[in-house]
Amino acid sequence: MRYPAGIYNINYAQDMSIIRTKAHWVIFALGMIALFTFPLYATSFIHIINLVGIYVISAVGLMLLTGYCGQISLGQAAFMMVGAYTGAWMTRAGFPFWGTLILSGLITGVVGLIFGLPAVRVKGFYLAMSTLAAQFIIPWCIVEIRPDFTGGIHSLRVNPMTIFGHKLISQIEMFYVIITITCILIIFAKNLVRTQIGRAWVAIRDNDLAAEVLGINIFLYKLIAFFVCTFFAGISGCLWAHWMRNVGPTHFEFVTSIWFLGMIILGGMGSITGAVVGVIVVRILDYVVSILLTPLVEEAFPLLSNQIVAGLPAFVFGLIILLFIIFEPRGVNHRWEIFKASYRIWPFSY
Amino acid sequence: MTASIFQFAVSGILVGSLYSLVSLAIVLVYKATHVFNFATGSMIVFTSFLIWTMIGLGLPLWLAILVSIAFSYIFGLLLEWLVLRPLIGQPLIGSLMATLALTELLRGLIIMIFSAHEFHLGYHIFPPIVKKIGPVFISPALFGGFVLCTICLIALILFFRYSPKGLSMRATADGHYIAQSVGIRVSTVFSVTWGIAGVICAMAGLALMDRIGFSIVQTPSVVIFCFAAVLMGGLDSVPGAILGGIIVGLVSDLASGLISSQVGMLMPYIVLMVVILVRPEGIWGLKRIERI
Repeated sequence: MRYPAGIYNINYAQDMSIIRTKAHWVIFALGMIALFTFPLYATSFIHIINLVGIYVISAVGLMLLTGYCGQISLGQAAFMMVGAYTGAWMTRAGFPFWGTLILSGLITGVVGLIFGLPAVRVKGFYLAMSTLAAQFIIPWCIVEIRPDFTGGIHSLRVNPMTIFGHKLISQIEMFYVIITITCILIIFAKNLVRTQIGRAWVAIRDNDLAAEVLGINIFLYKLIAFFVCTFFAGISGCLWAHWMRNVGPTHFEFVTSIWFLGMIILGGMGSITGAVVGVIVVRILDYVVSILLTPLVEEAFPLLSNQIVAGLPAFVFGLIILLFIIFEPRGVNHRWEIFKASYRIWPFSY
Repeated sequence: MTASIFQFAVSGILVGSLYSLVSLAIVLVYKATHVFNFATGSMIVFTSFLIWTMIGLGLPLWLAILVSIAFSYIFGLLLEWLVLRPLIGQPLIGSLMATLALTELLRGLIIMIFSAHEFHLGYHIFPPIVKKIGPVFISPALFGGFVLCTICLIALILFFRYSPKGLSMRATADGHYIAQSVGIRVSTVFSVTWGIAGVICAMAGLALMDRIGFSIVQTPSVVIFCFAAVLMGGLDSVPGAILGGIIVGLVSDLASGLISSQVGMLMPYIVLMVVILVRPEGIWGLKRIERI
């Protein structure tokens, strides 16, 4: 990290700080104000922003596991599904919303621990395969074991989230809840990665043998990473269920898990900001492809328009992820960092 | 009861041969390039649609099959050259995500061109030679697929044993540096391996086409059975892949016949989980001695 001319870190607290200078504080405050007054000037986009907020939580969780701890998870969507069903059922049973949110996060975390257990013996690719198994075992359990309880293959209606006796139904009301929770969790994640746990994760990611020699309990920290990742997924799923007001087994498929991995690659591995940027970029792309390109496609191929519209997002997404992996594996965030470094020292060359 | 067990066991082995063949494609690519090809399922569907298009263009069946085999070989070469070659030396997430992104890309492409509906050939490729052995019924499609897969497996084994190209591929799988130092062009071997994987996928697509309809939504799920089979036999073991395929086919067919078809669909994941927990290196895989 480079700072503008004349600013030096003279102690560890400054070196570790997230917001370093007064200008940062001003930008941070302005950004927060802009974010929370969003409904005033972008009413028609508000449901997209809500979805972005929900996805950001899940992507940040995945970033902690994959980007920081180096363990690949192919089952993020299934873990979201656990959170969604737990949340749906607890609101039905009359739990208060905050309790529901936290408990569905914790329960999903425990489920994540079960599928993280192979980390005792295996790593890398094999661990990814065990999360792949999770991606298919979890929906099966939800659909087949107690169909009377979860609705089986049919989707389940979800009661609206209730805060202080007030039912949140409109997108704008939900916006404030979702964005607040998203901001809190992003700040939590940013702080987590600069503690001892975060440093241990980075050590494991960079070289697990060396990390063990340094005295890091690899198994423990991998399990913590799995727990935190799935905790985030659970909260994200719970919010998703209350946002959609409906959960079904087809909502969280393997494809969604791939998209999450793609989002964090596109954003930039190993940075929380990257996860946020990745989700935003992918959602914008999805919006452009599905809303703006659709009329063009319908005009150009009137006979095939249905299937082209159905297949285009997957095609564009796959292509863009491939291009990013090949040409810019460090993601959009890396470009942004380069840009930031250059404007900070402007007009000097170093 | 025993008759039905026999019935499910026989059909399990017949289906398992297909899993063996596809697992072999995954293992070959993994051995040579250390890339786990998640896109195998999409490649299979791609070749099914190729054959379907060729027949639609009015080609006779045998010519359609030959042309699609040639096309899938070139397709495999292209994939290696365009996608995987730039990623050599990158961390695991790169190659893993590349094949996953490829899956998405091919899925989108096929939906765009052919739509996500299920397609049927309308007639059977394999002639109904054997219908019944003792008390056990055998579907001609399954048996045809079995024969096709067995022929392919034997051809591949002979190829690796006797042909110079096959020998150089085995040498490359043993060690890239050593292979290079005896004058084998490793990059060519990588391409040829992907090409052969493409051809195997074409064969699997052909065998699957006759048995059930093919669609971009359903067919790739077959490959999950092969993932379980690959891990069971060992990621880098050719005999392991063949045995693993047959075991997975047997286990899942017995489970779906004797318990319920839902359990049968879940079986590969349970096998996967058990293998990872109990014996991650599989039956004949190379055990990496490393404490983590």
